[in-house]
Amino acid sequence: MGHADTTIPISVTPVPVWRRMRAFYPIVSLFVLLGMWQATVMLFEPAPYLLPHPIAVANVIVSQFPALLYHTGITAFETSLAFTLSIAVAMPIAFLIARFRWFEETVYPLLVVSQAVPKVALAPLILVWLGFGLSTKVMIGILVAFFPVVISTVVGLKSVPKDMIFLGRSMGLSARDMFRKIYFPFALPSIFGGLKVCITLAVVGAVVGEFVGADKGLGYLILLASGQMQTALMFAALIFLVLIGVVSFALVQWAEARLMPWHSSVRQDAGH
Amino acid sequence: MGKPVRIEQVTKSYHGLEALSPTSLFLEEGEFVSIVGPSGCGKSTLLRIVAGLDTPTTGRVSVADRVVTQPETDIGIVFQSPVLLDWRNVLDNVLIQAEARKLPHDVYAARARDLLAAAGLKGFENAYPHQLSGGMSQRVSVCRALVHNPSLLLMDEPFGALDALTRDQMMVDLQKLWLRSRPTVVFVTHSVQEAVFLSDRIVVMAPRPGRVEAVLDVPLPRSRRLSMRGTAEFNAIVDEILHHFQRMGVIRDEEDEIPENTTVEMAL
Repeated sequence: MGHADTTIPISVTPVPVWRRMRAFYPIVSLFVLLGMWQATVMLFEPAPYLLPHPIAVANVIVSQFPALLYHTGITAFETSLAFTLSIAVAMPIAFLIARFRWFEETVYPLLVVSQAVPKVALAPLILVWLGFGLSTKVMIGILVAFFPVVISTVVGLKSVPKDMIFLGRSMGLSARDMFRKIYFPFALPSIFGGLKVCITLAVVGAVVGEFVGADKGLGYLILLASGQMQTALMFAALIFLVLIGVVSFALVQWAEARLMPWHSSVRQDAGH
Repeated sequence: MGKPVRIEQVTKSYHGLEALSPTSLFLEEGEFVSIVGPSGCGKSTLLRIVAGLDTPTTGRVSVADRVVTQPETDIGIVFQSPVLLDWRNVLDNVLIQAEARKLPHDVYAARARDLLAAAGLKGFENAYPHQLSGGMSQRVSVCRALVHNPSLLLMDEPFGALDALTRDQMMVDLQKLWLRSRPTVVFVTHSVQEAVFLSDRIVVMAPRPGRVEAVLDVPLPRSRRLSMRGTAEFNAIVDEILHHFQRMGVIRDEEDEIPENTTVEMAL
């Protein structure tokens, strides 16, 4: 409870400012990783097409920066479209599943079975149907990413406590207000859990789409570099791909913190 | 001011199993009635039926001569858990009542602040539920049940999850808040002392199937003080209720279980 943690200070030793920065520990682990990479290259001297020197990768990033940026932009655009449309597809399905028993019984089993198909295996088929354009990548992204949003939204909506529903009914809330004022805010933490999975899968979907047929995007660049044994360029492309993943995830987390500051997953005082 | 509630031959069965035998009860306007009884005596079921949140299998309930067919809205409910909305601060949790009923915000915000202050929550209006203790949360829940000045207040073991000291304080505060607007109250509880302290009348219920065992008047003057629990009048009523429970076999004194020869040995 809130009043309890103000009374007993756990630690009195002052923590230096640089250690209190949240970015400190991830940066340390990043440098350790880079150091291990450098050490491996110096110790075992592998062929550059197997494991390039970190400096060589850095050089490629600098020299190919405009091209890398262009392809990153393409993949990031596909990812954000796939993410947005996943939400647009998943939310109504989830609302209907949570609201109507008949809809749940007809659609839910179908949905679960559809998830047993490896969606990556469908990529060539989507390519045949939709062609080489943007729509193929976005469609594959949606197929890969929308399901967790459906599940988490349904779980959130269905876990509203019975007494809370009684409360709403005793206040005479209309169905619309019941949803706006009780169901949706209650489900929001769970929905965001699904959105975090969705955003990472949307990146996967976009790259898979680029693998099967594209002339731009980081997936295409990786395939191209692989064919030409340009491993340093491949590493550079991978680094930018990681950046897309990390930044988009952080954006979802930021939105979460803005929308639900009350929740324990966001609060500073919770956990640890 | 409260409305009278008439419960007429109400029964409830689940899958053919009788949970509540025919029950009739009349609550006068502004009366504070407690229902005490062990688990499974149908007291919560009865409460939900009065609220219109559950339908009786047979019989009917009317509030101020109007038969209850859908959820009552001129009502305040306090549940065993506070059921606060985590995403709203204390004031907004209370004000959802006004919002839901499209009542003027400013008038009710002032009322809510006034109620919260009376419940000892002054200065916590902008706190979020996760910052409150269990007792404080339940106070907010009581304020939320009263802010729109309902004619009927239903409480389902509201202090059951609180510690004994907090419970004492809550009883005193509830009595104070109730005396301000005098709604008709149905108060479900496990605690005999709580029931006697708060009520005008006490309904003792028996389980399997749920039924009314006895109805007792509590002729103690208001407003009551905690020290009243030491008086002979108070304890006479408590004993009478306990006696009913003993007769039902809900509680047993130790001697009842010890074989006779053992008592003889101890006496020697």
